[in-house]
Amino acid sequence: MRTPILLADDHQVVLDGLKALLAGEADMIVVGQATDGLAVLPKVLELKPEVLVLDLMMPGLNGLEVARQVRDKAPETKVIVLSMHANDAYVVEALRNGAAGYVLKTAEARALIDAIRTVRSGTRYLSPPLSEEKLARWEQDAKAAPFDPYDTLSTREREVLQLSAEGLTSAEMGKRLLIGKRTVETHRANLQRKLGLKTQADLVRFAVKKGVVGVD
Amino acid sequence: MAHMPKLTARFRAASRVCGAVVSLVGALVFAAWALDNPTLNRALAGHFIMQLNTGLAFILAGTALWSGRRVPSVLCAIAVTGVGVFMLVEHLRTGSVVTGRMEPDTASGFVLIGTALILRDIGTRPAARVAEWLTIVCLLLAMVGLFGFTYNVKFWYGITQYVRMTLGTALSFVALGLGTLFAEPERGVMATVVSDSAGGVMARRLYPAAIAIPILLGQLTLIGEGLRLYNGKFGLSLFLLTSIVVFVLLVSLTYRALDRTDGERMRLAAVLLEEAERRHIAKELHDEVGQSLTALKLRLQVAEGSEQVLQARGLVDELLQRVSKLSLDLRPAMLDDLGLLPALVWLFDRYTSQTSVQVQFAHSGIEGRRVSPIVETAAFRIVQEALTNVARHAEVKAVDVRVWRDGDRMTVQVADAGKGFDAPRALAAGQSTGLSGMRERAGALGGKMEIDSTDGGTRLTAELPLPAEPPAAKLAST
Repeated sequence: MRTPILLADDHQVVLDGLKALLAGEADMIVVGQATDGLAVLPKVLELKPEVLVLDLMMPGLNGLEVARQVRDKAPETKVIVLSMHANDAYVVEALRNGAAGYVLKTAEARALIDAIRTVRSGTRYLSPPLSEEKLARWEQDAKAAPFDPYDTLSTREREVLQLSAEGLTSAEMGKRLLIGKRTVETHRANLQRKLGLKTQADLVRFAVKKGVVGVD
Repeated sequence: MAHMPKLTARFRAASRVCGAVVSLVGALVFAAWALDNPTLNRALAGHFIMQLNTGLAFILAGTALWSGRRVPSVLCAIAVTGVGVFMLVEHLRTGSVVTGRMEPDTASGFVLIGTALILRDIGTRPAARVAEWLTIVCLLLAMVGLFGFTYNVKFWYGITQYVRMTLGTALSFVALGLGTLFAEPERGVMATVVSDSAGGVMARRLYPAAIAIPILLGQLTLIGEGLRLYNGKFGLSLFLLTSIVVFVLLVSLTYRALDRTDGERMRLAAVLLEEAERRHIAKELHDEVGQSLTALKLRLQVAEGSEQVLQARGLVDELLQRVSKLSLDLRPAMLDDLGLLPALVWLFDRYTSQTSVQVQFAHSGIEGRRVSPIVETAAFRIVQEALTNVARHAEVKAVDVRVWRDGDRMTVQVADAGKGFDAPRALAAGQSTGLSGMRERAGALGGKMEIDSTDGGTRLTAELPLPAEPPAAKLAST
């Protein structure tokens, strides 16, 4: 049996090229095409293709959103994203939105045919040089890494934090640091905001915990 | 034309202070009358003596300004107008000066300012416009009175046989007039003063000068004449000469201020224009050129595998890679499509492979959340530029990049433990277009950028305020 395929790309030349490519495969048949993002889902529901080859950036509705709708409304249709974007961020987004395969337009043209056969058998497909390891690394890189807010303080703010915890007034700090009283107060307000400290007691506690000042 | 919010608030406050002062003056008149203290009376005698009804009208007019509530304000204004009209009618009826009665110019002043205050409280645009004119006429009237005293000119006494307003009255009217203008700083002539445009810069410099300088110079000329340093004609030419010199200087100073603002704006416009062009070309390369090459590649794939076709396939592949890279270099598409975080991860990956400087990236509050594209672009470009500086000057193996959101702002920080540099001098000298470009980007969004550079390294921090979040700002996938 031939695999029914729907093509979605806003460039007619690309669609024609894809059709010409797939026409050479005996186990595949192109059942329809769409050039607008909004037209894809109705076509999928109407034609019930086994595979949807989807451009990531489409007018009307972008490919990521289309993939998501197809996953929700027509889960039996496998989505292969065909994209110029080699960046892992796009791949991660596409897979999160329910794509079963990601093929680069810069990859060997055969990659698409491989992709269609692979996803049909229920396995995820990524065209080289993409790989599961690279994706894992990307997700690692992009993960929210907690950081110590103390690191974000400027030199001045650290000085003000220390002197303030030692109990100096703004005027005294200004004299010591050779800056104006107002400037000291601005630094103090900024550092309190960065560190999330509301009161002088919070500030002293933080400074002691950080080892900025000793406990008498 | 936007208004400067702080300045606007200050004018409003000044308006209420003017009102309070005028009310106080009125109250003093009553106090002096009630106490009937000879010392106080002597102190007030001459220039500051006022009729009781004048004092009452001042209390009311001042209250209209400082009360800040509409109903009491309108009631006071109506009463002030009423007092003025009544006194004018009395004068016209009797046609002569009666000692102990309000002077006719004072009465006119109350009619003018009272009507202006009523119209102001009506609040429609034409009413406000008329109110402004009435206020200005009242101010001119008060200044005629004021100059009469400062120059001690008998001429003004001559044009009318009536008794004139006293110095205290004239000063109170000036305060009332200014207070009325300051009360609505977003309207009329005041709007030019609080404007954040280059025109506003000029208005703020020239209005006070145009009013104060002639008065001041005139006064100095008079003092000189009083000391018999020169005679009247020489005094006049001296007055003219100093006026010319002062105003020419002022224009040249204003020119510099405007020129600087203008320059900043132009550089910023250039930055934004460049960004827009980059986006356009990147998109064009990616979408149009890229897609055509893709189609070509697919065609070649189907074509017979001769030597020529194989070569052509290789060329097309290479071209596709190049176009893709060029497009990313101009402006990474993920910045628009996916947001700041993926764009930064991409940037760091490429940066490390090009410079061998490791990026230690930490962030909080930006994952899966989109903010305004202008802020994302500014944050991305600032980090990019800062990293370029690090690679060029810091001589380090690693750099810290932190991006976090707290409340209504996003902060990006790039910190290295490298050689450091004289940041203020580099910025002032405009040596680094990159640095000043970053600062202007931050400034244009109402944020700020600071560079803290010591022997222990450089820490660049940019705070970017976030515009109010649109309802659907979250990424589709999260």
